[in-house]
Amino acid sequence: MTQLAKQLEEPRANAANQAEPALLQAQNLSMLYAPGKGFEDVNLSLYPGEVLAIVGESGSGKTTLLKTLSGRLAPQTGSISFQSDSNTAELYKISEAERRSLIRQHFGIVHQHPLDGLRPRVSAGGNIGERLMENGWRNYAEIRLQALTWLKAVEIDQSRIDDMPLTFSGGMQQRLQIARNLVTHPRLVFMDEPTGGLDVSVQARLLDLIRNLVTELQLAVVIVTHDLAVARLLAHRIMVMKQGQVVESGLTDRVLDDPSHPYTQLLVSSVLQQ
Amino acid sequence: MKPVMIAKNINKTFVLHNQGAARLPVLRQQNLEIFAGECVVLNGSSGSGKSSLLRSLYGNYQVDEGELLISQGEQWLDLATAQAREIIALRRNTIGWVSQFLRVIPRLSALDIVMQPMLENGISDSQAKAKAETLLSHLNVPERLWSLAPATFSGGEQQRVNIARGFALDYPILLLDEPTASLDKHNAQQVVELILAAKQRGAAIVGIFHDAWVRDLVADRLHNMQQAAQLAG
Ligand SMILES: Nc1ncnc2c1ncn2[C@@H]1O[C@H](COP(=O)(O)OP(=O)(O)O)[C@@H](O)[C@H]1O
Ligand SMILES: Nc1ncnc2c1ncn2[C@@H]1O[C@H](COP(=O)(O)OP(=O)(O)O)[C@@H](O)[C@H]1O
Ligand SMILES: [Mg+2]
Ligand SMILES: [Mg+2]
Repeated sequence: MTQLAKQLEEPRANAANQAEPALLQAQNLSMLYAPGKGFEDVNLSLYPGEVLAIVGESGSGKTTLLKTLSGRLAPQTGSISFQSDSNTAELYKISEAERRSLIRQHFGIVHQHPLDGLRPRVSAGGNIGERLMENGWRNYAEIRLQALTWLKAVEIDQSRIDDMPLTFSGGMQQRLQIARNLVTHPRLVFMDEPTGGLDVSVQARLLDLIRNLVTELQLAVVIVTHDLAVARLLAHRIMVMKQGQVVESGLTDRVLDDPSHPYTQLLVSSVLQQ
Repeated sequence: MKPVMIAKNINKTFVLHNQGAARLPVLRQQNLEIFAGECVVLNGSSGSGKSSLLRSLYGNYQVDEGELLISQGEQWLDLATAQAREIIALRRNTIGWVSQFLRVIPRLSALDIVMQPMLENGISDSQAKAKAETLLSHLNVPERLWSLAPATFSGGEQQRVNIARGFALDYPILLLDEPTASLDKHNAQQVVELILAAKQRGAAIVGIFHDAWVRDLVADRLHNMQQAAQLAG
C-alpha cells in the first residue's frame, strides 16, 4: 500500500453530473400542528429523474410534508426552491398566483383518494383535457387525441373516454388521476400513497404502470408510502420519518438492507422476509 | 498500474438496537486493492464478513470508518461518503454485482431482467436481446423459461438468470457473492468461463466462492478475512 498516499492526492470525482442543478431544494423546513405532529427541520434536494420515497408509520407527518413540498401548505420556517429551465423560484416567496401557475405548469399531484384529484362529474376525457386547457391548449381535436393517447398509456379502454370517473373502479380512477397529472409533462410529480386503498392485485398492476411511466418519462417523483416494498420497487432514495423527524435517509437498498436507526430497524424487521 | 478500487481501513459494526443494542463487529481494519484483470477471492469461514465487505464495496452496506475509493479516470470517488445518485450512476456502468439470491423487480420476465442493464445504458433493444439470449443459453436456462418471471423458478435457475444479468455489461468492476453456490458442476463450469473471459477483457473482480475447485480456477489471490472470534475480541 505504499503508493496509496500518492494516489489519494488526486482530486475526488463526482460520478453524477456536478453541474446539473437540483430540481427541488428544501432547507430547514418545519411545519408543526403540535409537538411531534407535522414535520421538523427537513432538508432535501431532488435531482431530475430521481425518485424519493418518504416512509414512516401513520401520523408521522408524511402527508403534511408532501403538501408543503408541493406548494400547498406554507411551512412555519424554512424555504423551498424550485429550478425550472434557468429560473429559480422560492416556492413560498412568490405570490399565490405565481405559485398556482408554477404548480400547474411543472408539478403533478396524485392524491391518495383518486376522487380528491379528479372531477367526478366531468368525463374521463374531460378530466385529462382540462389540464391541457389550463396550460393554454385550445384545439378540441388535439385535446381529445391527447386524452385518448393517455387513456391508452394508463391502460384504460379508450371507449370509456366519455364516461364519468364515478362509474370507474378504484384502480381505474387512480390510473385516470395519473393520466390527468402526466398529460402536461410535469418535471416533478408528488404522490401520496397512490396504491393505498386498492386491492393487492390492483396495486401490483398500478405499481408496474407507475414504474414504467416514471422511467420512460424520466420523472422526478416524491412518493409517500408506508409500504417498504413499494419504496424498494420505485425509489432511488428513502427518507424515514418518525413523529415529524427524519430519522434516516439514503440510497433505498442501503436503508432497507443495512438500517442504522432503531426505528428503521424496527420497520424493516416487521416486514416478512420476501 | 494503479488499482481500480481501494478499500482503506474499513471498519463496520452492526448495532442491533431492538435486540438489546447488541454489537456485532463485522469488519475491522480491512485493506484491499483491486487491479484490472485480476480476481481477488474473499476467504474466510461462514460469518467472517465476506458478504458484508462485498456489499460495502457496492454501497449496499454503509461502513462506519474508512474509505472505499473507486477510480474515475484521474480522480477517485469515495463510496463511503458518496451521494445516493453518485452510487446509482456507478452501478449503472461501473460496478456490477451478482448477489447471492436473485432480487429483482417482480413480474418482469427473465429475458427482460437480463436486458435491463443494457437498455439502461442505451444499448439497442435488438442488441440487448441478442446478448441476453446468448448468456441465458450459455448458462443453460431453458428457452421456455425466458418469457416467464423467475419467481417460480428453481433456486439454480434463478441464480443463473442473476448471473446472466451481472455479466450483461462489461463492467470494469464485478462483485460476485457465491455465484456458483446453487449450481451443478457443469453450470458452475459455465460461470467459471464467464469469469475468465471477464478477467481477460480487464475486469477487476472480487468474489466469494464456496467451492474450492472454482476458487482455484478463477482466483489470482486470496484476501483473508479475520476470524469471527478475532472480531469479537
Ligand atoms: N390540518 C391539521 N390540523 C391539525 N393536525 C393535523 C392536521 N393535519 C394533520 N395533522 C396531524 O399531524 C400529524 C401528521 O399527519 P400526516 O402528515 O397526515 O401524517 P401521515 O401522512 O404520515 O399519516 C398527525 O398527528 C395528524 O393528526
Ligand atoms: N444487515 C445485517 N444486519 C445485521 N447483521 C448482519 C447483517 N448482515 C450481516 N450481518 C452479520 O454479520 C456477520 C457476517 O455476515 P456475512 O458478511 O454475511 O458473512 P459471510 O458472508 O462471511 O458468511 C454475521 O454474523 C451476520 O449475521
Ligand atoms: Mg398520509
Ligand atoms: Mg456470505
